This record gives sequence, structure tokens and C-alpha cells, in this order.
Amino acid sequence: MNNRSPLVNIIECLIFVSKTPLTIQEISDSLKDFEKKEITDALGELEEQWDGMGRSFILSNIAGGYQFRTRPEYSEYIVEFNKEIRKFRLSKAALEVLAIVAYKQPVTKIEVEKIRGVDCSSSVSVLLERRFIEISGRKDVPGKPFLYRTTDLFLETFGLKNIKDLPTVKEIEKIKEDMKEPG
Amino acid sequence: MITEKNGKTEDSQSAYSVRLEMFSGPLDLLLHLIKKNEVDIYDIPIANITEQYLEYLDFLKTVNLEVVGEYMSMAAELGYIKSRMLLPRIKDEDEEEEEDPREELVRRLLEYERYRDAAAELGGMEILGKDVFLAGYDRREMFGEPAEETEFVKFDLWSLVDTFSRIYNDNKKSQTEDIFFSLQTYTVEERKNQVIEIMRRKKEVLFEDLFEGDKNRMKLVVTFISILELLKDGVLDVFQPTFEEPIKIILKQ
Repeated sequence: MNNRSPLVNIIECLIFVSKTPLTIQEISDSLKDFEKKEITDALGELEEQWDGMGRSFILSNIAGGYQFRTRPEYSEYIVEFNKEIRKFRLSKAALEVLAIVAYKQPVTKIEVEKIRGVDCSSSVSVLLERRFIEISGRKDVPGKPFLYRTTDLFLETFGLKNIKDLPTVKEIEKIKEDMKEPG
Repeated sequence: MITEKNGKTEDSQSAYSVRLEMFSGPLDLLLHLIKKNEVDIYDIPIANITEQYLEYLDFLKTVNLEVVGEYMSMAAELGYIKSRMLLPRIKDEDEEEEEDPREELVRRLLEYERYRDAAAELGGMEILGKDVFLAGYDRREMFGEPAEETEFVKFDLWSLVDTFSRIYNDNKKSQTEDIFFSLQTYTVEERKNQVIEIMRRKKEVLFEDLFEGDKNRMKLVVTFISILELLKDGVLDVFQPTFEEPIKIILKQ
């Protein structure tokens, strides 16, 4: 810890006070005296340090930026401590719609409904209200329906680096195989 | 086609009829039947599966679960495929392969299954505000006031219907009342409280044990709907170690 460069400490405190995941771009915009390369290296060092420290919170790479987050094993204590926290809830239907939008974006409601075989209006409005999805434009077909895509809040909520960080379909199939194994 | 209202609407209907929104639709039901019957998805015995599908719809209607249009159009589609399977196949001059009338359905089932599994994957991630937190985390600041939403249940709810239909049908002989009753709100409310009471004491019970005191079908249905609503509200959780083992109901913390 003693031989930490000042830059590592500076970046650490910026991440600490930022409300949203702090991107490399945001850091370099504010630290004009440092080269981007130096910043990237320092971030790498910081990430490594936090990972190895075994603390109750870690530096996570989320939605293209960096953020301190508690480790999942302490969630029950946090919920108990902060009764204001209403646990995250999303219905199975809404989660399915969200998954379809995430993988197929931009996508229209009709396209989502074709896959699920049921009306998805209520799930779409819940997801819009929660800002997990947003309107990205209109599809150039008769009726010009809205196209939907996922938001940064979606990435932040599900702890994803970026949209490519979604489990691939192959991984999903692998998980299914594993589940079939007895025991 | 539109049946799901805005999620938060509480119309008089919902007092005695639970909407099927907890269930994921006709494709999900078909996948359940395929799994339950251990049949090959690429070679679905359409006549058999259609029959079971229709029995399901009948049963859902009997116990006051609202069967919506999409389930009916799937029934029609299955009927159509079934009839085409009975016809001698006409070989296309240009094409070598005969077209299987089930092909389109299978493609849709596989596609839906992929996203359904992806959704389960997403639901199992380390979620902000549930598993992981930020310093000074304020949920309302991030997401606004929590909307009324049903709980994500990582469980094939159709298995619950299966078990309940067995209990319900076993009860046939003691059946004296008219089954076309209308459930009073207070009855479900009352039963919900009783179920919570039981769960507080026992923490974990077998699903079927919750029906122990129910001497007639009306009471069985009230209990079933109460359990469904408590699952929807996220008070209870449902759990089945393997497909063969009995379903357990647990109290959520």
C-alpha cells in the first residue's frame, strides 16, 4: 500500500465519490495532466489491489465504468440494516421480455410477443418505468412501431460490463446440461 | 388479445380469479408437457400433447384461473397441426423433403425456450439492490418508487398445477357442492392469513400438506389461489429438489 502511486489514490477517490460507474473517459477528462495510458494502468493496478484485499466490497467493472460494490454474501445484513430497501422484484414475464430485448435489440414489442406467444404490454411498460429498457427509435415498417433497447441502468443492475457481457446462448445451453446432471 | 392490465390494476375480477400472468404462456405450458411426458421435442406426439393441453385449460377454468386468448389460439393451432398430421402428406415435386406440420411449432418452442433460460440466467445474476449494494444505496433514487410487480419465481409453476389437479381430483368423492361458486374476497384473504400463520410456525411445508384441512373442492381452490397470490407477492417461495420429489413451500425471509 505504501508504494502506491498518487494517481492510483486519486482515481480511487474519484470512483469513491462518483454516483454512477466511472468510465476511463470521465477520469481522463478530469485528470488532464495524465496520459490515458497511465490512467488505464493505474486502474488495472487498483482493480487488482481491491480484488486481493478480501474486503467486504470490491471494485467492479460495470456498464463501461468502475464502481465499488458490496460482496453478495453480505446482502442479508445490508437489507436488515437498511429497512428502506425494498428488495428487487421483477416477474418472470418481465424478466423474459427483458432477456429478449437484451439479446435482440433493437426490437419491437410485436417481435417480443412473437417469441413469447403472449401479449407483453404490461411487462414492457413495467420495464420502461424501471428504466431497464428505452425507446431507441421506430422501425421502418408499416405502423412505424417503437424499437426498444436496454439501458445503462440495466447493465448496472445486473452487474454487466457491457451488452456483450451477457451470458451467450452457448453458455446457457451448457448450464442446462449441467442442471440435467443428477445431484 | 390484451389481457394483462397495467400490473397494478385491481379490478373486481381479480378478487376471485387469478390471472395467468404468473405463468409464462402457452409455449411455456407446451414445454412443460413435453418435459413431463419425456418426449422428444423434434418428434412431439401431437394428438397426445394436444389432449393434455386441452385438459389443462379445462382444469384452469374449473379452478377459476383465467384462461386468456393466447392459450385458446394455441389450442386451435395444435388442432390444426393434429389434423394435418392425419392427412396423407403430399410430396412436393421440387423438394426432396416432406414438410413436417410440426416444424414451425418446434422452431418456436426452441426459440422461446432459449430466451426463457436466458431470463432465468439474468434473474440469477448478482443484482444491484438485492445481492450487491453501493455506498449510500437508495433504491428510490435509482429506480423511483417501487412499482407493483409480481415476484420472479424460479420454478415451473405448471408443476404446481399438476400437483394441485391431482389433489383436486382425488377429492372427487367428497364433492357435494356446486363447483360453479364464486369465491368471496374475504375467503381468500382469510386463507392467506391462515397460510402465513402456518408458514410462520413451520417455515417449510409440503405443498400438499397445506390442503390437509380442506374438506371440499371450494376450500381446495381457495387454498390454491391463496398460495398462488402469496407466491406472487413474494411472501412464499416454492421449491422442488428434483422433478420426482414433492413440492415444498417455504416462507421467504
